[in-house]
Amino acid sequence: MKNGVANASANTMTQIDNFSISSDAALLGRDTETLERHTLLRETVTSLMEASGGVSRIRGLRGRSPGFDKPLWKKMADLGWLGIPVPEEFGGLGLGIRDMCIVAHELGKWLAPEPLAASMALATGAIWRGDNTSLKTELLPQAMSGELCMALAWQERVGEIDFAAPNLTRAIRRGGEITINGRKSFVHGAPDGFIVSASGDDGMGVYWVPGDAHGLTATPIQLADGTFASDLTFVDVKVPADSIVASGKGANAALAAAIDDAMVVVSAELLGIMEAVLQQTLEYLRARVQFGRPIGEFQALQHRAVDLLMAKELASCALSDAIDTFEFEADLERRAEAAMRVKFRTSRSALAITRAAVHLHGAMGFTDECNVGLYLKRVIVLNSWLGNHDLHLQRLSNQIGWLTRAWH
Amino acid sequence: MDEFNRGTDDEFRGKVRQFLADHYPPELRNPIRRLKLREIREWQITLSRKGWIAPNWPVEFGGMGLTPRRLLILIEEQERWGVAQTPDMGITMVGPLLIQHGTRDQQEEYLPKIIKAENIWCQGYSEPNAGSDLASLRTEARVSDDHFVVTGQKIWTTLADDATHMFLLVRTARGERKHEGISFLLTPMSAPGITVKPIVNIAGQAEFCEVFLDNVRVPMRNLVGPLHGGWTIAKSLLGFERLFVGSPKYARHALTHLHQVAVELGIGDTPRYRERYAELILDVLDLETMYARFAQIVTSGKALGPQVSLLKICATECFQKITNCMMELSAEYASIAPSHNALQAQATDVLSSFYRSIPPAIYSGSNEIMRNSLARDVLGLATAR
Repeated sequence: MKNGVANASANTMTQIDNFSISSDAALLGRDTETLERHTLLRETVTSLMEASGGVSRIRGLRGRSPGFDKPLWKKMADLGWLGIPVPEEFGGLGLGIRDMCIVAHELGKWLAPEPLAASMALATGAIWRGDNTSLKTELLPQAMSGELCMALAWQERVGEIDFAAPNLTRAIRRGGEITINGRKSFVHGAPDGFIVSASGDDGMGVYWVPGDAHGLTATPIQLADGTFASDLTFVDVKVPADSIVASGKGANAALAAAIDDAMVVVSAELLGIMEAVLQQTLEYLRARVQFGRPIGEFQALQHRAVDLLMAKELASCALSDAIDTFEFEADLERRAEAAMRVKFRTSRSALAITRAAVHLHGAMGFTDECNVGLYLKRVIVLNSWLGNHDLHLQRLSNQIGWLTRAWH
Repeated sequence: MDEFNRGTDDEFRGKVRQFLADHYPPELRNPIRRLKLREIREWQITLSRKGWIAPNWPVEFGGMGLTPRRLLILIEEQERWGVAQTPDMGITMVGPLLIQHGTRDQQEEYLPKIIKAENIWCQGYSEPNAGSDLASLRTEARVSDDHFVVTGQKIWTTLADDATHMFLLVRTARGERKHEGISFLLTPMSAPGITVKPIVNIAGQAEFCEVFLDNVRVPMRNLVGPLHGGWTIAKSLLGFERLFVGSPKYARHALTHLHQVAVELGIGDTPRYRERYAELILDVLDLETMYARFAQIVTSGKALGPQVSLLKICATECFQKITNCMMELSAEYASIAPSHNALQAQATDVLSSFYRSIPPAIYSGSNEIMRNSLARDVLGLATAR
């Protein structure tokens, strides 16, 4: 038995390498220079997370508005993470989806509640993709410095993914002023300020609304993982005419791109969560002794664990394809399809893995004290946001072009 | 020299397509069952004459000498064209094995005849009592002067009734470690004492056989590698095989067939069907990317690690998921007995695909055995003693 345990430990280091092999293949850049930068980036995230108290720190943050650590958000800003996708002309790093995913993936392993996807990918993404240069110049530095943690308010109904028709929120322009009425649901990210989509006389528009705007009420909803989303009501909220982030076709394009980006970034986060919880579960299977042996020696559990590994590997494959598509494919429809595919797969696999992880930990897994439940709850939240796996499967099943094209 | 490795990948691809268009019998494209030797013989002879019969062998032994990358391209194109598997393990197994482990005499005796398609080989490994636990095999080879006397039985020997020769694993010593007493032998099927009995499978086809060996005399010179060293030799061939058993081609073809069936049944546009179809497309897309990752390892000249077993499980279970779906959607069509001899799939013959999806999860290491080794070698979960 001693030898069995010793061998398992010797294997553990290789197994850790084996895990990172798969996400390396999906995430890291391939040329030497990019690979170096990515490796360093990843190490920076790991160091910050280790120095900040690891997974346990979220126990002190959950359920307490805003549900994440503002000083840490500032540190992330100082490291440049909040400006990763922002064009250099506005002070950002001008990097792409791959770099965003590397950070998100690593943060996922630590269950970091800081709203990187909601704020950096989604809200900031909508602003820099819009067409209002003076607004970009005003807002982007504040977003990137961590002073202003914004949220994109596009969703109005539960189970909704069609951002193009926000018919519960209307914006009317009169002279130099825009009046917004309506409501938004499930707005992820901090309520410092909102990028709001609304229908108007000229089609959809996207507007900047500060968090303290008169007539705006933000009601926090505590989510399963202890973070918060907001329900918003707008009663004659007035903003200056130059608060338009984007309008008409530009608004559609900006939102589509930002939401697609966010879906891929969240998928990377989900992959990180899967890897961390699988690793923890394997350690438990190796350590927990019953009937005179580590329970990981029992074939039934071995087979369950392998099936979880397979689910993780397939998710890694889908993420790899999504990142490659976003780097090399300009066609918006293909990008949207890749985003749906990866959000579907990573959500589905992550749910299966975290759910099984709780079970495999026995009664301990069902306690609050055991960390494994924290992974499950985070996945439940991320699965539900930006369309859960079932929703994306339905959407893809209605994409006749994709259905016929998926076959050579 | 390097006729086939020259030029660009696309040029090579074009060459392969042209070759297949020029020479492969159109009526044999995408057969739904394994072909008998007589059915594929003409194609085999053509391959031999054109020098295309052994893509994976070095040029000096009569092969095409393809780089791993070009070999994968060739296989991709063959799969795309629907080329049938040639029922000869001489090319895929015996050749590479003798090239690696055989004596000069053995190479000269056997390799040219494989290239000329004169000798057809089958594999004698599994026995009634030795399937997953192959190392417990009992077919005995007693040493007597300059030859072995072999007695025992092999089973699941694919196309033994078409083969002229067999390579087999036999027990030459009993001891504590059962795999250390196994030797690798070669024998003509015409050797006295060999009896072949085809086994009919549930699809009504006799594609594998029992092979009985009753005091069969095998000359000592037919021993490959060291005495008692057969197990290592048999395992050394695993390389490409481990990639191919996980090929997404079965799942891909099944998916195309599924859609044809749905259209034929008039349900191709229903939301219920489209959702099932979309889910299976997503499965196959991920499988293809997984396969590409492992193929990339092979083409870059590196060795496949134990993770590759994941591919086999994934590919075979995905195939089954698709054929299960086909059966469900086909209602009464699923219950019609398929023609035993049909070569091409009838639009609504889903039962043949369903049957064909059964063996891959069993052979080449059952999926349960694969899970055991993944748990041990990749996840670090020790094996119970």
